[in-house]
Amino acid sequence: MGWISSQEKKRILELDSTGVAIEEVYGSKRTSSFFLCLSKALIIFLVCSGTITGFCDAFSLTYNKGLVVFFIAVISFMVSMLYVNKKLFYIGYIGLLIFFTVELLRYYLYANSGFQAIMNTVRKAYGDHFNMLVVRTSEESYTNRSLTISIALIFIAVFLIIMYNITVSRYMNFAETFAISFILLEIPLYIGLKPPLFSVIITMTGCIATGLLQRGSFNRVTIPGKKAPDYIRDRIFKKNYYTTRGSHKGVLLTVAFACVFSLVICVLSLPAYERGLGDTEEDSAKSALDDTLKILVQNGFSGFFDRYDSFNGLARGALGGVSSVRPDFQTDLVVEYVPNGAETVYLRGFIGAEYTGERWDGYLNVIRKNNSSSSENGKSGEEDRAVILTESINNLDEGFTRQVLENYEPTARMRIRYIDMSFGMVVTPYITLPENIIDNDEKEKLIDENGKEMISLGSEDIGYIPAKEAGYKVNEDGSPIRREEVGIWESKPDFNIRYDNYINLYTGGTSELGKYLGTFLKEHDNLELDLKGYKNAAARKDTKAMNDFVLSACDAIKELFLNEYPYSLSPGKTPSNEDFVKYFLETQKRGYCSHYASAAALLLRYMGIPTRYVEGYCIPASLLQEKGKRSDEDGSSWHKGENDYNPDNLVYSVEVSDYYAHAWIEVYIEGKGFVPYEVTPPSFEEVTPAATGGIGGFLQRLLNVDLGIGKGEEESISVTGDVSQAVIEEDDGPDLTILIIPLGIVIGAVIVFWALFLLIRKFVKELEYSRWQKRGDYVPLVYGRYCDLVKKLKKKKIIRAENPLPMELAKELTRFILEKNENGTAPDESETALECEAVFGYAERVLYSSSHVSSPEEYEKYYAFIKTF
Amino acid sequence: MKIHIWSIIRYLFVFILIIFFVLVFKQNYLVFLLFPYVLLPAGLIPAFLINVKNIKVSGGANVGSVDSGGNIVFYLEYDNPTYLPFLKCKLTFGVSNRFFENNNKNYLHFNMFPKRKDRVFLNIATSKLGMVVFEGQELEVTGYLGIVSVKQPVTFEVQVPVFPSDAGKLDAPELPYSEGYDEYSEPDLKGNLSSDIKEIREYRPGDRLARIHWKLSAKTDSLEVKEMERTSVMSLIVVPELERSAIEHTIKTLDAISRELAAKGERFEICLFNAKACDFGYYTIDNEEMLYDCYRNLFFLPLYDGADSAREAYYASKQKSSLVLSVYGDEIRLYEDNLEIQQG
Repeated sequence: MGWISSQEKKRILELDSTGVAIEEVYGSKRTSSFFLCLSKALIIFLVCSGTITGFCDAFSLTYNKGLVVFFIAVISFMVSMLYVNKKLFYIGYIGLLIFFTVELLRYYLYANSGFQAIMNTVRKAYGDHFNMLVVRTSEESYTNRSLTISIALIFIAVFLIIMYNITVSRYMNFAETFAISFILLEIPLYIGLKPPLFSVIITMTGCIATGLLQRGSFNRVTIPGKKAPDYIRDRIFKKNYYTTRGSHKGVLLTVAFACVFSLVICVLSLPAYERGLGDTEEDSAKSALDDTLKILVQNGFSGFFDRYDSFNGLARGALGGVSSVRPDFQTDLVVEYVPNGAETVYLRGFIGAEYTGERWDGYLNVIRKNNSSSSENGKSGEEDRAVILTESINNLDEGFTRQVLENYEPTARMRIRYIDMSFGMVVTPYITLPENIIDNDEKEKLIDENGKEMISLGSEDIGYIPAKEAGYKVNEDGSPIRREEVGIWESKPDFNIRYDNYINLYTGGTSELGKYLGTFLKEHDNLELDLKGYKNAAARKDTKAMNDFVLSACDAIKELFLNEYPYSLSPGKTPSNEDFVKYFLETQKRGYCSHYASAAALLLRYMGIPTRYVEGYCIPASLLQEKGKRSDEDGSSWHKGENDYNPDNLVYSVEVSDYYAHAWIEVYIEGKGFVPYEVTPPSFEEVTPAATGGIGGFLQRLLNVDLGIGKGEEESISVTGDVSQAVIEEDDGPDLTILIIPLGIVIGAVIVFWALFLLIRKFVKELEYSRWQKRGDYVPLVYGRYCDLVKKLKKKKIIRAENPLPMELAKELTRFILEKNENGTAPDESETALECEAVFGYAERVLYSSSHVSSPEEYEKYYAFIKTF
Repeated sequence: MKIHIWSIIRYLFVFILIIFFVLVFKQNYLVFLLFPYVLLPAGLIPAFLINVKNIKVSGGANVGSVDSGGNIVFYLEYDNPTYLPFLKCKLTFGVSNRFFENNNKNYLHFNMFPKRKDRVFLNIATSKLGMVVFEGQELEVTGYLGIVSVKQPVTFEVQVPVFPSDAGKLDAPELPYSEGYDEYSEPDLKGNLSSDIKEIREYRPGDRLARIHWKLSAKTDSLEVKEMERTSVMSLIVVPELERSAIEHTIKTLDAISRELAAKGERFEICLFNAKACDFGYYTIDNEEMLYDCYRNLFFLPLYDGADSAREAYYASKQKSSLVLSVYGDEIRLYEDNLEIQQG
């Protein structure tokens, strides 16, 4: 006797017991499987070729279109034909998988190169769209893009074809596969690159045809036969499903309908399609997605895990460790002052003295580190603040500033209110002495530009001499230093300048970094700098030569950065074992202000020029013009002397967000002291608020709900003894809340939805039960309750059998009840058994006897019993 | 009309997603994706609801009867006079042998082409004797997007009897000779031979009309029947026992004995007992066609439990007095006045 399939066994069994068995179901004209598969291949070919050529043409990829389309046609045909019969299906799919793998291994380099070429093209297009100077690029092994891209496309096509073949054959949800092809077309569409209309039409034709076919069964190749219901269902509610074999005519008819329909739709939507992207009005969801895409384009997926979201002001010397910086655009400061020029106003907040390879340490911190005897234990908050004040203003700026302010009274006044910046930090304009700062710890309520209430944590009233009036001439590009002698202050040899600190306190000279900096400067001979020029001039005590050299060196480095080191807020992470500056100069070659300021400071120090790294805020004239609000206060008390720019001395108030947080350098000019110099090249990146990063940020802005991400730094600062260390800790590494909170939200949502689903399911089930009970339809009702009970008992591990018969269940339950009550008031064994038998006997009668008529009372008794479990 | 909530939810989800892309991401060109989502239901659902009413379905079979073990091909015939194809049609139907009814629910998924009258065939294997019934119960047609479906009651019923085939040879019992008028020739005689009347009794279903005593019936206001001294020249009444467990064998034996008796030229009747109505039906067997006709009636009779129910009921209700050949399973027994005649 030959081998009999389980299907055949079932058929024989059924034939034996009932005398009849349905052997086959078929239509009037038996469709050939070949033609049916061929018609399916047509749909697959349409949708895949439409998607792939649409994608490639939108990005103007160089590829051999004829070859790719030919391969898509051939592979579509081959894959569709796998459904001709079951043996071919099982053997063919395995064969296809092996063939695909082998070919992929054979052409791996070509395919990979082609894939990278596609990715590079896509990234470039996105970079152009977002005005990004630098985008991530991958290395391509071969230069013949036409060949490599074509090969890569063929491999991508194989994947798509298999997906669609499954969909057309009804084994997979159409929506999922549609989503995949939609994403491929959406990639160019998102940035306004339109695939050819023809590609769109044939893709839509294929998709609509697939969707319609999935609903029907024209496309059925095989007859699935009967489903095998479970034990009880098999006896009572046995259901057999039969499906007629598909028809290629039906498939072709559907394709024709879909084609006409797609044409109509495309004609109707042609104006919208031609118009392309809508107005680019700011939208939180779109900008959040844009931000995400920018990170993807610049850093790939790793960018989501190591980026730094800028909150609450300055990083206080923390460098690197993150791949991108996203300001939150929250107002950090509200600054009131009388503008006296179109120059950028720099507010200094932190001065870096010693470079450690991964951060800048403030001067006092350095002293503390060097002098271990100065313990910081037991410092109060007030003392902390005093330290910060001293560090950031007084100690490191004594010479020039003190000379100026001892000879001249402050000519201007500035009020700085701290909103979202740590109040422990102080920012001051050039040129300020601590004696001219009046603290005000009172909290104030302010209204921001959007009409929202904000609270200032405190304010400073600062008397200062504006840089311009103090002798710093400003360039047209806004950089605040010029070489012109102003002649107000003469260099005095007895200045208590401790600039030597800013020469020696770096890991240069004999260190590895020092060597690298020397090599770097020598290699860049276009700087045309005599590396020993400054030291020689200093030895000659030729202050003019020294100053000339400083300015020449600064200009040369700035130009170098401008030409070869483009600005980017997403430059990529500095590897943990790499020096921040060396990695920037050698490998990264792009960065934000901290990169430029750090590199410039070290290069200048290498040449012997006292230089320091400064962090703070800048108020460019554009910000003042766009967002500055005129105050009602009398300007005469705010500014003394001439003011060509603002003759009426009008007081302006401007909100400064962390977008304007900045880093620059200060170089020592003989006769002037440390003066600020701007080395960061201008940014062409369009930066949008990224209040929070990753999914959290996206959700936050999508829902317009403040998820509280990134809050809490203020508290951590005020309670920490070692302030600088505290800041280092909080800025170091990625903020885990970015991941945790969205993850929590997602998990929470899943749990809530699942609970909701269970509740609804239960409710619907009970509704159905009550409907059956009202109708007196006791068979499904008793069966439903019985199944629920069995499920519950199995879950409680009271029974083990799958689908027990009612009387089997009665026995099990009797045993369970007796065991349970062993130690208590044990019911009579025979009584329990009788009760169980009576209840489940009723169930058995209802389920198995067609002549049994159930009464509501019997059911109530049955339900009351099973409810006890 | 049934509305599929999950289909609507799925549909709305995609719709909202596209709206989201269009409005939030300012991708107006995605409107072309919205078109199908607006146009398809707006156009297809009303068209579907209007046209679905015109669908007609019926059933049929390729053969009038079939021998045991043979295959029956039932067909579902649909007539779609509209220009719309109906892609998802589900027919709930039953295929069963009346003797061995089952609770199976069968569903047939098929498509309807536009403007076409077509058939879907079901090839049925049979293994037992009886009446195989293909019964349409309900037709559910679902719209193109799966959002609405319409259910129509379907009432066709196609019956194909499965006759016994290749009956084995059985020895017919030796029957005692009896004389008398041929019942069927009676009308040729003028008047009644009152001397032949054995008794007058009340009419019982199955009695021939010619036996009714019309005059007496008119007087008594109830139908009275004449029981003749020599009722029939039929030498034998064959009474099969329609006992559930042995029905298959009983019919086979009945078939074999009937053919044997017919071959011998015996005139005999088959008496079928309806256990539910407690009624008897008589079928004179002259030829094979009459035998099949008898089977067709037999296949509709209810089965019962109890081996000698028919014979006992036969005698208890004082049916025709004749030799009775009781057939039960593979056994045949000859009775006269409810006493078994032992065959030599």
